[in-house]
Amino acid sequence: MSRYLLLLVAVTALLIGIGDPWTWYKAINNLARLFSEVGIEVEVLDEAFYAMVDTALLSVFATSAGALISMFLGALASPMFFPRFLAVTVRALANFMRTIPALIWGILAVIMFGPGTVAGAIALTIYTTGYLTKLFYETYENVDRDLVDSLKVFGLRGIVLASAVFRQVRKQVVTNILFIFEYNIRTATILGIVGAGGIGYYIAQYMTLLNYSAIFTIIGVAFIFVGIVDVASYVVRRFFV
Amino acid sequence: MLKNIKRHGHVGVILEGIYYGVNGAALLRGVSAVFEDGKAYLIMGRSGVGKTTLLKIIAGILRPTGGSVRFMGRHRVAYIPQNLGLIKGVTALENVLLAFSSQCRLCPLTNMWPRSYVERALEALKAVMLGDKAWVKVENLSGGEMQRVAIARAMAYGADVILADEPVSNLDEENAAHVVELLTSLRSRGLVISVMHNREFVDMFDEVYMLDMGSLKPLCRGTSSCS
Repeated sequence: MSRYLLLLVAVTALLIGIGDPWTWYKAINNLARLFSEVGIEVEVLDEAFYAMVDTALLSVFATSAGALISMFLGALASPMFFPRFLAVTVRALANFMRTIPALIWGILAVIMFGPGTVAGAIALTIYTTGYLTKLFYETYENVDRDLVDSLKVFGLRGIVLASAVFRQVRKQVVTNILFIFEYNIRTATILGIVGAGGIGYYIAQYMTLLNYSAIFTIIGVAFIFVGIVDVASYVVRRFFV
Repeated sequence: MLKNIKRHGHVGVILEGIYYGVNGAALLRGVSAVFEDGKAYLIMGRSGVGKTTLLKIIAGILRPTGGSVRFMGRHRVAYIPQNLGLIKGVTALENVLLAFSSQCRLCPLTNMWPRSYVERALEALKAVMLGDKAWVKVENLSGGEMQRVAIARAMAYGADVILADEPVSNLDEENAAHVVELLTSLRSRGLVISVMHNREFVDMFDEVYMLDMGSLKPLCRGTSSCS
């Protein structure tokens, strides 16, 4: 196995030119120069902080809205609750939403709504919905079939049956939502590069101005923020879920 | 079969030539039986002979490949699977309340139930001696208590055909006897059909059948002859 992987690495490295020592020499040199020249740009801190709050709001909205829609779509996509043709259709829709990267949804949303946070929120909500719908219907699929059957005998059907079963899997659902929230925070930081709001917009702007100190400061703020979210998410999962 | 039906006074469920196949192999080969109201039935048989399948066919969960299940008059079927079909993470009371889902369609969605349903669910739990554990999450109850919650749910539903799959498989002797006693007492509400693979409690049932080679054969009738 490892031999084949090694072979694949060697062949592809040769094809894309990553193995060229001169490329690596230049890269390390550039990085060293960057670190020697850049510093914290205090004037940007304020801007970076508000942009990060914007990014966080965008992520919270996309995660919450996506989760709400997915709870419904996840149930529709489960043949144990709804007719198979409906489940297959919803799964295809969710696959489509998930297959297109959030960045591409971002470009489409910017075309539709214009640059800004709204476009980012829409793009991320679409992607979140696609992803969570898949995670939710997979969660439903792992539910014991006997539980569903015995509830059906009591007359529970469709969305009512799904809501009853949901109570058994809600811990898993919360875990999935926290997972996608962490993902969304990261994705939201780069969505701005295509104009879809958030901190990425400022990164893109300072890139064009070649102001590396400002970029470094913004990335630093984003790094700290993402770290805090990761820790908070872990604490919630560990102690409350 | 029709002659048999006429002989019985209070017929509850009639199985007529039930066939069921899995992957081309026949699991049930023309199962016929008459289950009367007011009786508790035990269906025995080795593991994998199709006891659960037969129970699921009676419950309407599985569709037989041949034959039919007929219920005489109005009926309400409750199916208690081997793992009880209780929702983990919610209380015993909430599990019992689900029995009223067909009467209050939106209640399970909102988890808000009218007071009358809550009172009826509590009554059912008291009837199985779990009134004081109504607000305990089911996973924190013992095996015997969980089994009784499932029975309380069937009672709250007003079931007159109660189907129980291996109700004592995970219980100790004392709890098992208590559960079987409670289950068979439900014959006063209609009829009880239970499947088990051991003979330990045959004397508590009115009629005992053996499912073997895809067909159902009467083993004994009346509590004295079954012991």
